[in-house]
Amino acid sequence: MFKRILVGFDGSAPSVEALRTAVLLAGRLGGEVAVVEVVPRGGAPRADGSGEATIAEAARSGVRCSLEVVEGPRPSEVLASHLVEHGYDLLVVGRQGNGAEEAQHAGAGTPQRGQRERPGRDLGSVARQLVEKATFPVLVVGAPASGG
Amino acid sequence: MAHASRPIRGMRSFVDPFARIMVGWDGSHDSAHALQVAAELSEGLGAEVVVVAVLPVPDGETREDMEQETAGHRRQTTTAISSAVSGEAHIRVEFLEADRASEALADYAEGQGCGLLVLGRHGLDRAIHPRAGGVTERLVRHASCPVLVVSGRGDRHAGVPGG
Repeated sequence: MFKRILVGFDGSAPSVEALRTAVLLAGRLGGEVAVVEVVPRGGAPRADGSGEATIAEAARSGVRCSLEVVEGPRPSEVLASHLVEHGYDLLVVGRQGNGAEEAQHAGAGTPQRGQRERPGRDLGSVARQLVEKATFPVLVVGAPASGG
Repeated sequence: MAHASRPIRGMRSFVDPFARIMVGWDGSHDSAHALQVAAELSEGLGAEVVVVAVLPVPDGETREDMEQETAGHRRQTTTAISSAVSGEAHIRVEFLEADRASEALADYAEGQGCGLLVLGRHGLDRAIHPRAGGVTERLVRHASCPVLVVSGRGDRHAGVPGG
């Protein structure tokens, strides 16, 4: 069960935690992790290397891990299609993303860095769409508690 | 007294986050599937499964009525849980009495140090209040641990969420 795990990654703290949780699960279950970063059409992937650093950390723990940047209008739909197309059996996402993702991506163009969802216990639009409508298992991971 | 089971502050990174998996039970088909997923996962993770059912606060007129009502709810729930999972799985059943299931479940998960919460996507509350957001969505927002959401008809690789 859950040998092929897909992670939706956008560099936000919850998505980094989602990736860590996925790697931990894969390590325990003898599975592998594929990380997908969804960017708007013509948009650039995050250049801060947070995905690569976390994946390098995962590789050191012996879990097979890959990173792919996929273009698309709505992250929840792109992630769902990717899961179906490649036969993954679990999608792991952060509780909140980097901004108003669905609207931002739907409008295409350059991501607005300053625009962020309120941190805390809100549910990001990507996680909400997946929790409500996906027909496959979805694991939602929050950011680690500060000071914990 | 019970020194071995006392949590040690500052040692969090050494604690197995998946030692205890909690399932929120509401009798729905989706929650039965959540229990099956948790039972299967627990084998791979070597985890304990705790099924937590939130029962309505009894509204009988006398104490005896209320006790009978609670006992009846517990019996029915235990039978339903037993029939939802194979006899080999090691599961523990806990009952909570509360009006707000999502808060009771979130508090229990945090208090008991559950590392993973498994829930059905659409519970019974959804059938009654389809637009209310539901216990599952509230728990995804508020739980202190990762929440795994599964669908009862058997999750299939067919659904792309749209709109």
